[in-house]
Amino acid sequence: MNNAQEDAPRALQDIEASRLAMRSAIRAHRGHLLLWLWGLVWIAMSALCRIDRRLVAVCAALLGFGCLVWPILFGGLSSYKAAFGYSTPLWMPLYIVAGIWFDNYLLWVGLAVSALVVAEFLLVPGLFWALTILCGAVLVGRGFNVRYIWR
Amino acid sequence: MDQLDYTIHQPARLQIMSVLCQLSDGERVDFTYLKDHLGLTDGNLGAHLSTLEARGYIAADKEFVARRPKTFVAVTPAGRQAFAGHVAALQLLLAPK
Repeated sequence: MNNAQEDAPRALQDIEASRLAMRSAIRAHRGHLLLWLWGLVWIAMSALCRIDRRLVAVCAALLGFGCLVWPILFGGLSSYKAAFGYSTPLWMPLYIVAGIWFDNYLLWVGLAVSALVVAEFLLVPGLFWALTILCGAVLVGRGFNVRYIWR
Repeated sequence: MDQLDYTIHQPARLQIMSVLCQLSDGERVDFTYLKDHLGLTDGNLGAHLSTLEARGYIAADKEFVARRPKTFVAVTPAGRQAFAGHVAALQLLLAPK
């Protein structure tokens, strides 16, 4: 017990030193500087461009994916296999940007699939197979809608 | 009342647990990173990890990445709890009576 009492300050100092070193390593590893740099580049671009609603919407969509959707999904995964399983939202910004720029049915496909993947991940993470059926059904259903009903 | 955990109290294991407890749930580090970060040798780190794993404080997974075997280490909920209890016990020892 006496030894432990003598050791305690040293042990707590070691813990604090390790904690700070690891925090610093995590901060360096997570590349926040790169994110800040590109964030500022995007903001500067919007200031340089003529204000265009579509451009603002595209910036908002990309920021939404970069700051919200991807961190929620990929920040909570522990294996490459799971990351691959949830990789669909990696491509959804392309649908959304194309939808904003050209024709909005792609926008709704991108939003619906992303929302379904995130909702499934948060609410029923064990049922990825059901999600794939649901997302596939969204795409097929939207295909029918575009073919027979849209416009 | 929290008591000192002498498995964790050993200096190298204390450092290992401090580092691993900084990670969020689901995050893990690979063996080589941990070895370099703590300045330990392969054998030394391996022995300490085995001790912690035997107590259920950490989980080590071996995987192949680019055809090379890699060991990933993460703290378990029991390990997190034990570490928090150990820190509380240390603080209690130093608290004025």
